[in-house]
Amino acid sequence: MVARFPVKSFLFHVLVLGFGLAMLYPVLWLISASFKPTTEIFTTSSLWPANITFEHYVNGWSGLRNVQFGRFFFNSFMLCVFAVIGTIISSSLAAFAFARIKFPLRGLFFALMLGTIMLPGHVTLIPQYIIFHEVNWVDTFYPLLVPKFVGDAFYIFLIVQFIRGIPRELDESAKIDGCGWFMLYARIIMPLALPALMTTAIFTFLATWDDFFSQLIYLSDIKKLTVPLGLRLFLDSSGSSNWGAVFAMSVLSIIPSLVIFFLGQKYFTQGIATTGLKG
Amino acid sequence: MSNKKAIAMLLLALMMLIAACGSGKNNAQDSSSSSAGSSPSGSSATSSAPAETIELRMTWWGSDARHEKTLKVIELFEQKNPGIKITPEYSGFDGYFDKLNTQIAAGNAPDLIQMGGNIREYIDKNALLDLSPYVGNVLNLEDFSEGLLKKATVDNKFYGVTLGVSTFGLLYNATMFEKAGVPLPSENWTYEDFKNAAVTISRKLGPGHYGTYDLSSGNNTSGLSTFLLSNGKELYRDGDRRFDRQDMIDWFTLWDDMRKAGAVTPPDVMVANPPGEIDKSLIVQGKVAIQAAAASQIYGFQELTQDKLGLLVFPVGSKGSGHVTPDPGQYMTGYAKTEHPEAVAKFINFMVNDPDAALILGNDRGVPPSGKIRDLLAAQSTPTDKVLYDFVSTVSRIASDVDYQQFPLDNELLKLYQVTGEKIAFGAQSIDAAVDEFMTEIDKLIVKAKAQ
Amino acid sequence: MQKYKTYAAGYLFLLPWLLGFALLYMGPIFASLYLSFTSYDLLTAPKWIGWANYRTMFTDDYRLADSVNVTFQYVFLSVPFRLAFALGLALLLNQGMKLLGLYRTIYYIPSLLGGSVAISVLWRQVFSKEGIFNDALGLLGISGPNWIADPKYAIFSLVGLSVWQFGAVMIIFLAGLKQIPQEFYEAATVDGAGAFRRFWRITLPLLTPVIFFNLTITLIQSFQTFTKAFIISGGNGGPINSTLLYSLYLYIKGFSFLEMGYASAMAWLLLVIVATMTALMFLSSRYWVFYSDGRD
Repeated sequence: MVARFPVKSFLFHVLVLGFGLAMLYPVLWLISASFKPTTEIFTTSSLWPANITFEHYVNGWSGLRNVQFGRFFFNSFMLCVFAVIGTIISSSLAAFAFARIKFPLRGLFFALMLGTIMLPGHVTLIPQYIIFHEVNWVDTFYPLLVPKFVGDAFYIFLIVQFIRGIPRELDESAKIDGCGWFMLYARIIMPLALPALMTTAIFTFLATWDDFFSQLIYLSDIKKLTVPLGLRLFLDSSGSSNWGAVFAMSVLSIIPSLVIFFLGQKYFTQGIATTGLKG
Repeated sequence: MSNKKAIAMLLLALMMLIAACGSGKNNAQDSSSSSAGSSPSGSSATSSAPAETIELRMTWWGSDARHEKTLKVIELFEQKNPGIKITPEYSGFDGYFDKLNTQIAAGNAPDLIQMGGNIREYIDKNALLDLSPYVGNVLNLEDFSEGLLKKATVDNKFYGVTLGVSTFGLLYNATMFEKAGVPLPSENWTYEDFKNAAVTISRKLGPGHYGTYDLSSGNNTSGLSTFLLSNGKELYRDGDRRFDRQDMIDWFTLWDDMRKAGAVTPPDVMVANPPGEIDKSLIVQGKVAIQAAAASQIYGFQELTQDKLGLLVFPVGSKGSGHVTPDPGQYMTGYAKTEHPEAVAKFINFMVNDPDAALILGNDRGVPPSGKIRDLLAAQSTPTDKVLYDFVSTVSRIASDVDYQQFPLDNELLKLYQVTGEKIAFGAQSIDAAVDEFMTEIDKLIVKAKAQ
Repeated sequence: MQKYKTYAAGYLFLLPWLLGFALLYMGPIFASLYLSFTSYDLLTAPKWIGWANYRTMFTDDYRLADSVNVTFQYVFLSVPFRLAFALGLALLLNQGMKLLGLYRTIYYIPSLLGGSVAISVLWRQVFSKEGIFNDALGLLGISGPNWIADPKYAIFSLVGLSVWQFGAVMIIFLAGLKQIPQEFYEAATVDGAGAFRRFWRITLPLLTPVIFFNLTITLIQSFQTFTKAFIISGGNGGPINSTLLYSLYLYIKGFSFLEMGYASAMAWLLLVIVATMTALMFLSSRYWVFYSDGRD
């Protein structure tokens, strides 16, 4: 591999770890604040709380009246899972087409696709909301999920770049062996583009987990709310906010993301071998 | 062969989608929020139980404390009115109006809408329900003062019922005053007194402590508007501004002097700790003694600190106090396109007049406008409640007789004011230059407002 | 005949995207173009006013000029640093060391916080005058300003937030590095190539598609940065509009001042700028991006 530093050197590890922990300071502050009593959160600045309390976790979790915070976690999780499935399937299909198949107007559609991420979302929000309202999808999960099943330009572009790093010779040999387009896609190209797919999965999960604005606009029923919306329930910048609960629930909400990330990591550790081909 | 597989995968994905949304849809059925799906409201419904349930949607903003209280009130109402079911849609303040505006744009707003001082804009754009047909029968407002009703009345049509009365004032940290040995100001204090008090506090309490936040900068024009009014001028009336360049120069110079004397938070400190954001305010941290605030916000501030907080009136000017009669801080209104206007009126009536509801809601949205309710609540008031009541009474007493008109395009005015104040405070522009720019821009805004 | 089968396959794979574009995006995109020629306050119907919005944008809006200025500053500062840190760390961490998983996670955690509400509080804690960042600078003998609240420096706190979250870009680089076949490195080592040559002749060229992706997409996204500016400045782009990124100003115009027509015009102007830049990127790519698929 590319060895540019004496990897085993103690200094190396100290520097890398040190820099990393310095970067984590804000997160450490967040965790510490979640255990401080309300009157101390903003008035003391040490990382170690003078008085440790679990009240924010208890209060935050019990949520509001009829809905526990656990419900928000569940909703967010379900949304994310389906978003990931939808995005991977639809984006990889489109990316395969753009990267490997020659068809008329390919360039035009590629440009249009990229164009969709160049227009700030705030101005298409109202027209899109009106469309979803006309089909009675407001206050359901449809407006948040259906767009995930039609491809996301960011990931299409990402996967295209990865597919283009795969040599054509593989395609040729596969075709000679009688492979159809779908086989080529499913059996050869996709496995080789796995790092891109895993990246897509993880990023989609996180983006959906964190997405505030669309969830705000389309979801109203309390039982449907998601984590970002749930957090905001505790905040009222015009009145009194329950920052303790916000911090505690924010800490909790990082955990699933971290877990997903950990689980997905091994797909970044696998190298790709391109010798040989199974028919 | 390959194509069939592709289609199969697509179908699979579609099936999963339907399965997922199937469960989602069941939830939607439980607490249906489509206003089109409920029973016809019928002409004049009497109080006999209707054959089908009327379903209303209601939205408000607040913190979790307010959410709990309001939800309890809704439950109470549903118990007493079995024919009506209300689906709540609530959130914090951020994003509330974004979402509401989006819903109105699509014709999909909830039946009951909590409004704030910006109600005028929504009335003018025909977004709200005219409640006048219901006043006197379903909606009982006898106990409400004329002034409060007038605020939400345009062209003899009435649009919003006051939920709580509030007013602007100066929030102060009594503990800091004590520590600095500064006596509490009287109602008649002047800006000279203000300056002296602030300077003393800054000096006595040492570096990092300031007498007051900068009222000439920031997202809040209450300091400016009381200053103008107390000197016989006004921010806005009947389509025009009622102050001139010299007034603005006077105001900014006043604060520049205070800043030079060390009584005021430096601009960077203020930007980093905006007084309007309760959790960041330095009053809570015992570092600044005075700031402008809506009186009903005292609860939020007091919660975060052990110091004792109180409310002061703005200093008087050559013509007396610059205060105006306490305003409705928040209203409950109906959506212009609601299908159940009478049910809407009924609920609003319940919210402001029913004694049980009142006991639950307390002062969370400001001082209750109904005298009877105030008396009812007197028994359970906390010290902070008392501070708020006393303050609102004081302001009512000393307020000048002026019928306050809000500047149209309020958001733009606030932004302009904030940037102008910051430019002066940071020394990026001289007072003269900054005021010239301010006057040019404000006149542009007035022209724009007239064109709408 | 084979040709038409290929065309059909292409369209079939593209079908989900085509449907989505036609049904969910085309309408709103044209709607927003239409709205840019109107005055629209969300609460009442749009009124046609022709080119008036565009005229105002170019002649009578000093805030817009400030905003464009601030946005370009932000983009040209944050993008290079973000990419540099991401690529640097990715190369460093791609060496199969023991604690690799741990380091990768540590550097990625900031990105997990994304646009969380907690960031607004955290960032002040770190970058205020008495914050930990200035403490660290103090150790080097530098007295730092108030990064959050001084109009001269506030933009840097924004750049800092963007760079702090380089983890996402780093992950993509790592994935790209992993895709480079081991055999190439083995063969090169057998041929006697040293570490630098291996990097320069194998890693870098084969990484160019991913570098291109990260560069292009980061550019596109940073022009549209909204959430960061919103949470750091409390939604007002201050102090003195020094953090008034284009998208934030657009949002204020559309949702706060209720001038959605003007905001739409602003959006289309941004589209033109970003599209032009992207087109230039793509044109330049044929000179420095190496694709293994033999296509240009």
